[in-house]
This record gives sequence, structure tokens and C-alpha cells, in this order.
Amino acid sequence: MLEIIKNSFLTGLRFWKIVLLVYFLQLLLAVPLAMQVWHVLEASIGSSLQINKLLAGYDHTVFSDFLKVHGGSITPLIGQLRWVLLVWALASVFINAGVLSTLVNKTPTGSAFWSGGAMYFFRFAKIAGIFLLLVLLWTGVVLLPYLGNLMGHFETMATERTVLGYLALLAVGWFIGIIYFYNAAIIARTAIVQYSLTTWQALKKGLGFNLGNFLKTTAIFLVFSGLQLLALAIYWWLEGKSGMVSQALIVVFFVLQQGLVWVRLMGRVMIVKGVSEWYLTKN
Amino acid sequence: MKKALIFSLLQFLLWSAFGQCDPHFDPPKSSRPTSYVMDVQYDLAHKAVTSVGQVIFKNNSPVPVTELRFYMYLNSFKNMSSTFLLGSGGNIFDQNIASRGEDSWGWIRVDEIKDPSGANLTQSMRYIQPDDGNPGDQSVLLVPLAKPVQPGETAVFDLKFSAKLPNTIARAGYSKDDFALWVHWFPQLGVWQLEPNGQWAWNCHQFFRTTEFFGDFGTYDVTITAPSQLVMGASGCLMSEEKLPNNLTRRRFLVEDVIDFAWIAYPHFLVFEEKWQHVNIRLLIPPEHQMHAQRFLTAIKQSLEYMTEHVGPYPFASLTMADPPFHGLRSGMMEYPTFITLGSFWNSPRGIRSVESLAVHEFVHQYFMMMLSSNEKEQAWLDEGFVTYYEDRIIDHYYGEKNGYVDFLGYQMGNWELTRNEYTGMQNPKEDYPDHPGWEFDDRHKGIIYSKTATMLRTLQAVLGDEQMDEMMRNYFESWKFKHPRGTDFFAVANAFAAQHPDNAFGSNFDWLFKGVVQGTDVCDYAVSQIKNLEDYTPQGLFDDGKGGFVFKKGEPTGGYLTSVTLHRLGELVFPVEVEIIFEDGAVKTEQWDGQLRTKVFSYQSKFKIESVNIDPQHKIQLDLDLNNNSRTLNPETTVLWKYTLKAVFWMQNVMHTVAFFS
Repeated sequence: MLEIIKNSFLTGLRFWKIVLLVYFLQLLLAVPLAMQVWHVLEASIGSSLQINKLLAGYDHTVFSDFLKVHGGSITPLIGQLRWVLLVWALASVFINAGVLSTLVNKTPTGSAFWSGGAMYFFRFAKIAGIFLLLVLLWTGVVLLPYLGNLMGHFETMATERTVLGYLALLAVGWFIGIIYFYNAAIIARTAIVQYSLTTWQALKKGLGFNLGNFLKTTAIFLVFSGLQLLALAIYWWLEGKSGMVSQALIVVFFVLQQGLVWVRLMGRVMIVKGVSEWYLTKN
Repeated sequence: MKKALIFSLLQFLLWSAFGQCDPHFDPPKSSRPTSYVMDVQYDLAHKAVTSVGQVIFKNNSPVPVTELRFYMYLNSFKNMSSTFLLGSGGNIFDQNIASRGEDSWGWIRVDEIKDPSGANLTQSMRYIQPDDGNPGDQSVLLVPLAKPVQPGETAVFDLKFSAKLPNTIARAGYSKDDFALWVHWFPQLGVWQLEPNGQWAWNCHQFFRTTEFFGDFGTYDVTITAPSQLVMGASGCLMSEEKLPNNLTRRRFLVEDVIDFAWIAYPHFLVFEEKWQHVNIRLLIPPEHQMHAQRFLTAIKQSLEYMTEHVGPYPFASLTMADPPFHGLRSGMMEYPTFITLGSFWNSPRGIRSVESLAVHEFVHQYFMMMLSSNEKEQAWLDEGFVTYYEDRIIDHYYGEKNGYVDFLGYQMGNWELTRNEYTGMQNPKEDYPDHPGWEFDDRHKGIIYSKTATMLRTLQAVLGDEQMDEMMRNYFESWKFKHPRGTDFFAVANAFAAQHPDNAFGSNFDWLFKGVVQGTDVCDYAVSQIKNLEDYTPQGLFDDGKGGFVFKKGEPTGGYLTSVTLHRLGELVFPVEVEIIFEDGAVKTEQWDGQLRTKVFSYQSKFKIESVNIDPQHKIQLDLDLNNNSRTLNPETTVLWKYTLKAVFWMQNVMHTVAFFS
């Protein structure tokens, strides 16, 4: 197990070119949208002396006055974000296919990534659709009944602590289920790439195998998710300590932000690598 | 003599035992037109009471009183025909009222009322609906008198009544584990007063969803016999506590010169007691909220200190606070004389100061509504607006102007900022005005009644200065404490103050402000539209040559500029404002603009270009709907734009990463 985690970590690092490719694809979509924020701010309150107050930190008065008068100019951006996310969701199916095929075939090259992505796109799209469906079903079964009557629970329980306790338990249960489905989806995809199974065969394989190896695959997931969370916590701590309050710090924090994005992408590759390797070593 | 000595000694021992809480005022603080003596038996199992006692009415008017009018507000929770529940549309705080069972409703009933001569008035009493004519509403009871109460006469009426609490709909009610809040639980007289039309009459309105309460001053001597396991709190001082057989305890509470009496009972309350000067502070809090106890107590002591210093002394000997358990939250966040209910959530972070803000707000009501007993139903802005104003001042003073309300995970917000935004952020700040009866408002009235009024007072404070504002408010407090001021009374105090200080920026009369803001929908918005810097030339054209002809002179650059700024008043409110113009060399020119015209241009011939202009640079006019357009610069700072653009990139990447998880 430890060997697999170590191997996944090192493989993730070795696949830096693939991660870089994904990073740039993501950045390519994010930047054009974000640049519009620049233009909206410039056109609305860019000439006001009040905007200088935002350098030191959040200023509720400046922000609320901005949103009240110019909130409408933000709305189109939200509309665009919706479409960008839809495109990214589809692109992610392709990226997952490319990443997994290079990981399974141990060929961290750009051409392997592109051809893998193209080859497995449709079957991976089906897996993604079913995974999403399972997530929704799981959420509907585990969380919604309780959340739907949350106020009622507050009234019938002696203290809100009990309600929160149940909610925390449910959230943990819900999250464990999500991890299970997520890892099962990775195994199903690995089975498609490695054994050329059909989608349904692969799904059956993924769900079944993951049931018998649940603790191991969950541990892999948690180790590399923990890595991402740790990086996020460090970033928040630094932001809380200082933040983007000068030109130099804006540059420093942008580098940190992009480093964090990098770590998150790397962490995901490591999870995929770890779970698929566990599956392959057991088959 | 010996008996008197023993009685005094006993009384002294009793006060010592209960933290020397002395509710007596000698001389009285008010004229005490309505007083009550009630001996109450609490039926815990049914959340019901029966009471035997007296109502003492003193006719301070020059006309005979031929009838009494009582508030019977628990009947608003009797069935869905009440005006209160009709006004709620069958849904209050996400409760479906229609699904309630038989035991969940509340009611109140006068079992017997007799006049001083012993005549039974019970048969002739009837419910009336003076405001909306809704025959299903039983929130006001009229009792015709067999013999009028003459001017100056004091009449004692014997009163027996029964009441039952509803499962809490709003305020009064019970919830789990025998938690119960008893407010507006007894037949309470309205206010016999001189109305604006010049007639003496009962001011006793029905209970509406959007109104609260209005009562007259008096003393309350209330004895409650209840199961011993209950921890109780009430208005006033606990004068005695006596164990009875059958696990019952008899407690006597006394309070003077107040407009109401409320009490609370819950077996699981923890009690925290502290003293601030002469005030016995008592906090009742459920065990799961005890981590907030010191926060509540500190906030109350800060409020006492601040209000005493800036408005006037708090004269009462006691202040009881009760934080309901979460299942009883609908009973929270309210104010009663010397008794307030709070609201909190287990372990809510210290950086979010809703705990403190709420305690301060409800406490300040002891001044605005309890002592300055304005009519909350007809002119809610007189208490809620003023209370919000002082809540902001107190929280910002003790916890920070920019981080008083929230200082959590790097996100900061002042209490005052929140209040201003509740008004200026309204979709339509002109949709209503504060000065009309509460029942004419819909549910979205907070931005107008609370926040617009508070914003107006904040603007007054900024323009007049802290000391002058305090002086004006002290005048108001001293003139009207333990009386029933109307809006016009406040206006009169403010105008008298303005007349005494004619040098203030708003002039010798504030009526224009009150008419525009409190009684009108006028808004304020100043804006800078343009900065112009044109090269200055010597005059060009044909000039007399002194010989009867002309000579053409070509304009030459002087090396200076013709500069100007264009300002606009976009709203109807006309405030005199300061305008700060900054030139490229750093020179600052300050102009005064009376704001009378819609557009104002300030022009200069200058060696340097104008770099920026700022209307009301200190942001004194907090009523201004958009402070961002008050200034303009020709050299905008782009660092902030980069900051937020890069942040947007980062958060978009994170959102995309999350989406990718599900793909």
C-alpha cells in the first residue's frame, strides 16, 4: 500500500508535462473570462478614489455600492461562466481519458495524451454520466431527506447540537459514498483502457472491485486529497496573514495561487494513478 | 413601631438575599396611569395560567372615561381568522400554520371583571376591531363602564382571567421541554391619550403581523406560582421566593414605571449574574449556549456604559436577559421592560458578532420604547430606527468601525456598514418612507423603518459632530423619558436644538430633512461626472490697434490650464456638501456647494491640471446611495484591478477543478 502511494506520488511528479498541459488548458479558459472582471471594474468604479480602499482588503461599503449600481454588468459573466463550465466538463472527460491512458500505458507524452483522450472519450463520457447520476441519487437518498426538514429537526431536538451532530454524520456518510463512486469510476475507466471492457462490464467491475478494496482505495484518495487540502490551508493561512495588499504581494500571491492550482491538478493525477495501480496489481 | 422595624429588617434581608434589587422609584418616574396586581397560577402541563388581581386605572385626562380597552394579543394565535395570522398569509418563519393541532393554539379570556363598586362588567364586554373591521379578530376587548372614571380619579377593577400559550408562532409561546415565554399574556389596557385630532381616546390597536406593542406606564406586582423545577426570569426584581407543597414555588416580581411585564420559564436554564453599578444583570441561558454567556454580559455592560454616557442613565435596578434554546428561537430577539430575549447558535464564531449586536439592539430598546415610549405600531421608526442607530454606534465603538460585525477568515464588515447597505442596497429605496403605521407595511420594511432612519441619524451625527448630536439626543431623552413622544415631538426637540446652534451645516431648522427622509421618499446621490483640463492660451482674435483699426493676435500657450470639474446632484435631497479638488502638484482646494442646483461646475485657471475631485470626502452624508461615484481621478490606480482579476482567475480555476471531479 505504502509502495503504491509512494509510486503514485513519484508518477504524478514524472507526469509534470501532462499536468502542465492540463493546467494551460484550464488557464486558457479561465483568463478570458477573468479579464472581463478587469474591464467591468475599470468601466464602473475604476476612476473612483474609493477603489483604492480595496487594495488593503475587503471593504463592504465599496463592494455593496458597486454591486447595487453595477451588479447588472456582472450578470453576463455568470452566464458565460455557466457555458465555460459546461465546455470544461466535456473537456475534462477528454482530459481524464488522456491522463488515464498515459498513466496505464506509462507513456507520459503529449501525443499519447491526445490519442488516448480521443480514443476513450465516448466511453469515458458514459462513465462520467453514470457517476454523476450515482452522485445525485446518493445525495437524494442520504442528504436531501434530512436537509429538507432541517428546521423541523431543530424544533424537535432538545438542542441544535444534536441536529448538527446528525448532519455531520450524514455528511461524512455522504462523502464516503462519493469517494466510493469516484474510485469505482477510476477503476472502471482503467478496466476499459487495460482490458478493453465494455462500459457496463467496466462499471460492474469498478463497483464490485471497489467494494472489496474500499478501505485501500479510500486511503489512497484521502492521502492525496489531504495533500491538496494542506496546500489550500497553507494558502489561506498566508492570505489571512497578509493577502494581496501591494503590487509585490499581488505578484507573490498570484504565483502562490497558481502553485496551489498546480498542486490540486497533481493531486488528482496521483489519486487516479494510485487507485488504478491498486486495481491493476490486484488483477 | 416594633412591627414596622421588623418589617423593615425583613425587607432589608430580602433585598440582600436577592442582590439588593430595589425596584422602587420615589418619586415615581412616570404618572403611572395603569398598574396591575396579578396572582398567577401556572399550569405547566397545559402551558396555561389563571390569574386573580386588580387593574388600577388613573384618569389623568380632563375628560371622563366611559369604557376600557384591553389588548388581548394571545387571541391572535387562537385561530387563522385573526388579523395577525391573516396578515401572515398562513406562513410565519417557515411554519405552516394550517397544519397545527388542537393543543398548539393559544388564547386569552377575561373570566370576570368588576368595577370599584363591585358591578360585574363581564356581560357587557365585547371584542372590537377598530383598525380593519375583521370580525374574526379578538385582539382588542372593549369593556363599557357602568360608571365613568372621572378626571383625576383612580379606579381599581377586579380582574380574573385565563390564558393559554400557543406552540410558538411568534414571540409568546412554548416549545420543547417546557420552555415558555409569557409576553402580552394578560389583558393589558391600551393608552388613554390625546390624539393628534385633539380628542382624548384609547390608543389600542389590533395585533398585526408587522406591528409590536404600545402600553402605558405603571407598576406591576406579579406573583407566579409554578412548578419548582422551572428557572424563571421576568421584568423587574424578584422580591420573594417561597417553596410550597406539591413541588411548587411562589415567586413575587415587582417593577415600577414600565409599560409592560413579561416572564420566561425553562427548567434547563443556567443563570449568570453580574452587577454593573446599580444594575443587577441576570442572564438565563441554556447549557448548550453557555459559551456565549460572557459575550452577552460584556455587550450589555458596554451598552449600559455607552448609553449612560451618551444618552442618559438607565434607572432600573434590574436587567434580565434570556437566550432561548434553539427550538424556542421564535421567542427570541425581542424587547420588554427590563427584560430582553436574545438568540444564539451553538458555538457560533466569536468573529461573527451577531450575539453582541443582538444583545445591544434589544438593550437599547430599554431607552427607545421602554422609557421613551413611542407608539411602535404607528411610528415604529421612532424606536427601531433609533435603536439601530445606537446599536451601530455601540458595536462600532467597542469592536471596530470596519470589523465590528464580522471579523472572520479575513472578511470584515462594520455593524454600521451593514445597516447603511440595508437601506442603500434596497432594490428601490424610494418604495416607502418610515413615518406611517406598521400595518401599512409589508414584510420588507426593515430597510426603511430601521435602516433609513438610522442612516439619517448617522448623517446628522456626522454633519453636526458627535458632541452636538449627543447633546440633541440627551435633550430628547430628558424631555420625553417616561412619556409617549411622537415623531413631531422629536422633530420639535431637533429643531429647537438647530435654532440654538444656527451655525450648523444643516441650518436652523431640520424640517426639510425630516420631511424628505422620514415623511418622504427623497433620496440623496451626489456624483462627479467630469474633470476637464484644457491648455490655457492668451486671447486670440481681432483687437483694437488704437488707430481705429484691428490687429490680429494669435493665442499663445500660457503654460497653464483652464480646469473644471462638473458635479451633479442626482437625488432630490439637497445637502450642503464639501468638495475637495486635488491638483497635480498636490495642492488641495476645498469648495462648499450648497447643492441647490442639479449641476455645479467649479472652474479654475491653474498652473497645474486637476488630478482628482471628491464630493463629501469624509462621507458625512451617509444617506448618499452611491459613495463610489462621489469621486473621480484622472490617474486611476490599476493595482486593485489586477488584484481582483487575478483572484477571479484563481477562483475560476478552482471552480473548474471541482467540475472536473464530477466528469
